[in-house]
Amino acid sequence: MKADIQIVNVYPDLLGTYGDRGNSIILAKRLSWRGVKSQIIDICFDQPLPKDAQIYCLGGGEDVAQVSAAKQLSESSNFDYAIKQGAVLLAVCAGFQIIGGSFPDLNGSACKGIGILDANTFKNSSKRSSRAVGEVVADPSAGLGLATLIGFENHSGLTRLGNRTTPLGSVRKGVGNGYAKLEGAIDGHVVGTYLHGPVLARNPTLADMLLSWVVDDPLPELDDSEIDQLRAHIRN
Amino acid sequence: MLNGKRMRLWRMKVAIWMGLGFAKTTKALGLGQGEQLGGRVCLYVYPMAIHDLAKGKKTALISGTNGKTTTTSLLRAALALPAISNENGSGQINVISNTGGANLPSGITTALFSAHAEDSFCVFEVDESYLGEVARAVLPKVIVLLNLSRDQLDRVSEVKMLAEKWKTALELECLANVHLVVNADDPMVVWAVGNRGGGELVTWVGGGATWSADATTCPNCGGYIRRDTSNSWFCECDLKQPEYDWWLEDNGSFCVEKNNKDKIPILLDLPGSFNRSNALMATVAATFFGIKKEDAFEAMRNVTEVAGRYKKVKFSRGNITFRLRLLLAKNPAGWCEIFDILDPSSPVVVMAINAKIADGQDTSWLWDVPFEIIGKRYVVSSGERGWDLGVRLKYAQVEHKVVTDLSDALSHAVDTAIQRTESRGGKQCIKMDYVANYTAFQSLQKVMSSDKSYSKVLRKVRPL
Ligand SMILES: [Zn+2]
Repeated sequence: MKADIQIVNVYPDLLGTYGDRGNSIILAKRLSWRGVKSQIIDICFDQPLPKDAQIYCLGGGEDVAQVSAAKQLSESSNFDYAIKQGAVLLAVCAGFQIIGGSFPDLNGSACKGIGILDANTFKNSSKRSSRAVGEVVADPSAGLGLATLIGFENHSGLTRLGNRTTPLGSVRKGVGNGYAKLEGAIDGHVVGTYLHGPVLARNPTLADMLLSWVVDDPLPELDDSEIDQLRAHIRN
Repeated sequence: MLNGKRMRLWRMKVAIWMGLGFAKTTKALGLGQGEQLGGRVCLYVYPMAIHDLAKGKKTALISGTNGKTTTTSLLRAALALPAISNENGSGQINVISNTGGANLPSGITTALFSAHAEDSFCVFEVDESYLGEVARAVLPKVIVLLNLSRDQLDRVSEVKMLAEKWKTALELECLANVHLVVNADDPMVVWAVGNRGGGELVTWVGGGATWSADATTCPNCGGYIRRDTSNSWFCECDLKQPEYDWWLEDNGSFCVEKNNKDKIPILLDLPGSFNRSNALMATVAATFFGIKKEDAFEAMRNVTEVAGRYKKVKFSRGNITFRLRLLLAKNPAGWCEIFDILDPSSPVVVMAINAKIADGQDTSWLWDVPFEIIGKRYVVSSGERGWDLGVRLKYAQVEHKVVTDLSDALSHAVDTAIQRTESRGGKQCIKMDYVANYTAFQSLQKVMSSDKSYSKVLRKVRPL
């Protein structure tokens, strides 16, 4: 018998202030509705992360918490090992910033990220709009098989992607990464995004893309008509 | 020539006169209550108005993310007790208060317009970000600090910033003699009280905490807040839960004081353990006004609704009477509290969500609320963002239907409730709860109060 798929919420006590915990609930339900067993594991700030889970979720958080989480995560050899072995990582907002090379702290000075993603985040220095807040609509990058990406952004940092990183999409409405009208990033099984909502609630095709990386068989279709209604409602 | 003092008095009179004028005009033009606007005009003409109007009065200020409107109503009821004005045996006294919820300096100024010279007690709820400003102006006798949690993340950015604002305000020299009634269960609030914590002027109350997601990072050192075996919170730095002076026992049925172990029963018409916590905070504040705790609790029993919340609306269809209860839940903490009080006998509940600026435009918070515990009830998901709630309920595997229009949602709920209630013949009563977030609640009240739309609902729910 196959072991359950393990979905880890990384430090929900630090990076859980924007409902991003929902992403793990959504992944678990979409597995269960297809007859695949899974388990959600909350790993708090003072607990060690497992090295053999299949999916890791990092959420958004406030400035002080973000710095603490980055420091703790960079010291976790288990996490480093898991990602190198090809585990799936979904990193949202503050989580997205953490997994890059560097990000600004509350005062704007650069903090070291954990360097999983070739990307760097800078403080938005334009005075006119120092914080990006609002609905985002983005066209997904070609070849990913995703539907239009929608979500709610609320961040002050701007993220510049390096050459090794593919954007998740290009922004039609909203700010996203804040450079070259791009939104999010993807590199192997690592996905970063600024979208809350949570992102997988509004984008079931993205949820299924992550799941297709951990389930061997093709994923059966689910009835997403209610989600389609929500998507239509938000885009209007 | 006018001297300085008379000049000031004259300016204030003009300011109040203009403020009242604006308040009346806006009301007459149907532009809302005019509460904030009238006060705003007055403060613009004469910024010291709020200070001068409150001078000589004994004032309590109540602030916090959740419970301030209710606590204000409860404390107001306690202070209005006839017992304290009975030198000549006359009835209730007039307590000046912003019970309508207009909690910015302008709303408080407007409430003070109606004060007569002989009125001596004031109870004001204050928006969290204006606590310092208002306290400096009215120089209160007591400040009640309830809790600080996340309300509208995309508008008031961070809880910590509010706690810092409170801390700065509470360190002001002019507020050094104010009594603080503080919820010891909330780390953010305890931190904000800071160095004053050791003083005689702070009363620590076990005021309860239902939702702790924002408080897990220590506001003092950024560390991680833990709980010991007796469920008291502490951090590696000095910050820890203070010893209670007052607390609740037996699931909130009794109140106990450190210096007097008599158990006083708490009987309220308002539902929920969080309202018993609010009542406890209000009672402690009332004792500083010379009210006995037993009398305070007794007076609070008469509070049956707070600015339209908890209000029970009755209507019928054939032999079936419906008792619809209106509930407000502004944020994740508020929703968790509401789950506690949903009528267990009710087969259907209506929930309405908007995402206007006053609600917070990001609906992600829906995923911080454990909707899974609704269990077997049928939910009618309504409001402008009924679809967001619908998807949340889909993943929580709660049976539901999205009906975005508020009145249509109600009539669908009535139909479903009838279908799902076993007919026992004869007269029957079905209880139903209608929970809404901030602006959805305002719209719901409009539906309930306007004859036209209310009768539209009634026409739908009553057989013609
Ligand atoms: Zn600490």
